[in-house]
Amino acid sequence: MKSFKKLGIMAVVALAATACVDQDPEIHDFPSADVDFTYSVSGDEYVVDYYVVSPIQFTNISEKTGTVTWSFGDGNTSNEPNPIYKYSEAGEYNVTLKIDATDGKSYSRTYPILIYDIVPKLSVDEQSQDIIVINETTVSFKLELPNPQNLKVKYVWTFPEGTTDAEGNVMTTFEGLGQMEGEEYKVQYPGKLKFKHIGSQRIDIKTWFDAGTENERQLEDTYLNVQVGCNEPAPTLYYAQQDGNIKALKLIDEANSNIPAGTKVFPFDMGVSAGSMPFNLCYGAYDDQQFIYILDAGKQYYYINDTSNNLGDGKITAMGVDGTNVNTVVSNEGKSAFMDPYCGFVYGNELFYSDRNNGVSKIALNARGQAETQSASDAAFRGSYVFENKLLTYYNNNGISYGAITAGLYKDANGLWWWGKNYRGNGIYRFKDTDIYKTQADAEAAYKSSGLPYPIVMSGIQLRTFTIDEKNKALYVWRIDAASTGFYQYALPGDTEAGSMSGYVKYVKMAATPVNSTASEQVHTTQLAVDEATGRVYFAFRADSSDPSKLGTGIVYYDPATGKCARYGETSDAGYGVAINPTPSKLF
Amino acid sequence: MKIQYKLSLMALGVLALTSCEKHDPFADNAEIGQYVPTAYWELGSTACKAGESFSFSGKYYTEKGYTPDRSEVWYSVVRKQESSATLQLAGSLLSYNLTIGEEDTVRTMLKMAEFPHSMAEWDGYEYVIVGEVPTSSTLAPLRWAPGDTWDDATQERFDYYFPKATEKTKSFTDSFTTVVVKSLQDDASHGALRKVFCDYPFTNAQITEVNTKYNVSIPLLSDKVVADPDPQAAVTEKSDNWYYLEEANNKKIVGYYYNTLVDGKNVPNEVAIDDANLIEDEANGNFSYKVGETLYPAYPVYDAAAWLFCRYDNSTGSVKTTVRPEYMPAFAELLTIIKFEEWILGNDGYVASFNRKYELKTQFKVVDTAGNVGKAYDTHTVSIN
Repeated sequence: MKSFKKLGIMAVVALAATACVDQDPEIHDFPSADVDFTYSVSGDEYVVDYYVVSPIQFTNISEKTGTVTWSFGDGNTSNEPNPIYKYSEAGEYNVTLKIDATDGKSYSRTYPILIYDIVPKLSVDEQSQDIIVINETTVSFKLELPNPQNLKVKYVWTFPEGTTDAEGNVMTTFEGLGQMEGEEYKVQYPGKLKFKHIGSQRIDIKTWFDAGTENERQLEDTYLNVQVGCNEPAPTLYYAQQDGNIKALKLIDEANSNIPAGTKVFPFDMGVSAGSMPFNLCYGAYDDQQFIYILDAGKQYYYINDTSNNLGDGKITAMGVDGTNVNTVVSNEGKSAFMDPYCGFVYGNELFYSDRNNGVSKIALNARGQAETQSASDAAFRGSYVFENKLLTYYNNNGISYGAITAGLYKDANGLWWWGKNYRGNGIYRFKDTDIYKTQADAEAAYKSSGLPYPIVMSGIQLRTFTIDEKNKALYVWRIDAASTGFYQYALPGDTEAGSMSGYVKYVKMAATPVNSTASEQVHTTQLAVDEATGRVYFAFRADSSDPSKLGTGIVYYDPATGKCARYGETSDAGYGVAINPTPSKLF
Repeated sequence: MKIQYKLSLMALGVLALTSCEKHDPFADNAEIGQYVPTAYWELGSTACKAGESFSFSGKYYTEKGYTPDRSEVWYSVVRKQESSATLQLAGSLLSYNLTIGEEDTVRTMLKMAEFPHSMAEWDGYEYVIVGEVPTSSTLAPLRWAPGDTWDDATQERFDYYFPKATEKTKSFTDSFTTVVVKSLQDDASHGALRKVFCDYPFTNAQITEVNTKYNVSIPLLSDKVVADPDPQAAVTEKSDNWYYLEEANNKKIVGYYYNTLVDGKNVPNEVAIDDANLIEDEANGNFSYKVGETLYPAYPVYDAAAWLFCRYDNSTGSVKTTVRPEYMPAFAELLTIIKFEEWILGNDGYVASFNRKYELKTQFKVVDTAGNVGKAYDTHTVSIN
């Protein structure tokens, strides 16, 4: 045994002595690795722009020393320790620093660098009013262009429809020069302009260096969206553009406004991404701040067997109504795909939102940067659930079955929940907070003793979204039944009434693009928004090629006064969620 | 002795575990002994207009004996580009969209703003710095769409923005048209092919060329008398030619076919209506075709244009029409005449777009006077709009 112990100790000593391959201490990356470098624009001008004309300072911060070779990615090299280099053409380059070190080894590191062509920057220089409004505000502009060689520049401006000069003369294009006049470089401008139409009015600029000479070179086009508001306050409709941004339309009530005849309402591009599948938008306000909440179900919005509970990619984003203060409220990135947010509404100071099929959560309107909570041991449980399917008496063959997909969510002024479901358990389910039980067993016991709390509204109806106009006692539903697809107005069912699918007040036959080819996952129209002022119901309509209404893709409203749907605004954007900020404003 | 051995072994074991720099389980997870400032931060907004600044609030502190020197905001630039086009010429009978997206880090992580420690305020627990970080107006998003006119300028812009061919990949236009032309040759796309053939103004010269090349007889526009001088008559004529509408609608039986299985697929074999091996079951009116001792179920073939195989399809219980294989190369060649921009021209103009957006991957660092660098755990993404 003694020999065995000695052998054991010898083995451990041998391990300790030989396990380490590198005898030399390694210098850690605080901040430099063996070879590393940084780069920045030299000087004080355009330091964040990386223009073609910019001198770029490359700085070697390597620990290793030796012969230095810089390759700038455009075929040119340098052996200077810290070169300053100017690229002659715009493009994306890979810069490599190679050090043939004194230890006989070569080390290298490569970083990308984007060199941008010179682009003019157009901005508003002066405006005669705080907010630019139609027909009143005069606006002058400023063009900035890095031009150290004082080259002659030609600009061609293209104005949006309805642009005039200060005297009211129509302006469509303007060609101006930038050139030296004596000792001074001067740019010709179109003068002060006015705009006739509401929305983002896009001015496009085409630019040429040395125009008309053999050295003529056209630069990348640029543009400016001039945000032009109403001449009187109006509510604002926000919509999520498919594969685009959040946009906004001023809601003009033609019959009761002083907006001049012929005024067109174009959308404002808020410049904030709408996400992948922004099924719902919600308007909410707190502490004198107003936000639009963007409920993005993510690319994985449809069923997937997410066995590892990590395929979720949805999130809720808050955007100030003017497009600023954008922040993530809660993210489901990397969590269960079932938990991606589908639809919701604001109630008091909280946002209530459903996931794909299981439950409804809530979060404070002022919450930011939260991650969806979820127990790793039970994918069907989420700490923030207000309720889920199985805690209602409707669950388990009493209406809602497992997997029933959410198709709208609403809570009325009396505190009554309305929860739309499709796929398994088509219908709208109503309940109060007191009808939500702590356990499934409690819910089942309550069903046995008392039955359902309210009749299921139109059990069997194939709906994709709905909303309620409490003031006008109307229930609006988007149905996808093969022979009955389209927009419906129903009388709002009373507490003891179930309503009838065929008992509609009005029906507008329409067909929206389903997006997904799997019947139960088809998207169609995802949200309806009631304008309290007019009672009109707005939605983003993505017209299918088979659409019988011939309204085309864009923003559509249903007017209960006429019982008809019509297009609204100068947009043919395909969209998903819609929300109305009822606070009248000239801009946002 | 036993306890001495055990203690010795334990001590040597610890030595073995920690003496190796390459396989040190402790140092792999923590930088033991290397002190850095503690920092965390949040952004005022995760979206920022190009050329403007984004705001942040950073918090940091150092251990006793260390003094903060400055805080820094670093960011890298990520470019996201997406080129997209949607087939229009086949109407709703064939849907196809090609979207090619790419995401690249185009500038590495670089220090973009520095704030001296003197700008920070002590809130009783840590230092708080509120600052702004500039962005470039060159990072503005770009969206380009061709509109409703495809002239030289449009082509020039399209070529500028849309992916070109590389050694390994086709150009955007080649990728698009290859898939469309191939899809239109599928049996299931018969209706779409008909629509394209009818809607596109192929010339007689083009049709004659493929007829000769492939020894087929797609009719010329003048092959059928058109009484109506309406400008749309040519389309009507092509449509009529395509279907032989009257005959097909009346389901005039011109033959029968039976299926044999070849490589797991049903291959139809047509037989004449008076073929002696075609046997009718007078009890139910069904037909069979006898090959040797085997009886195959046989189904009607209806009268249609020479290039169409119009028959009763037992699997669907309905009439099915497909283009005959010997004609398909001729139609496929006609399809290649159609230019990319003609495939994507719809009622509202050319359905294509190019989108470019930039994002900043941002990081907050605090440096103390000894040069130690602490990084905030959270990196934030700022969308440039």
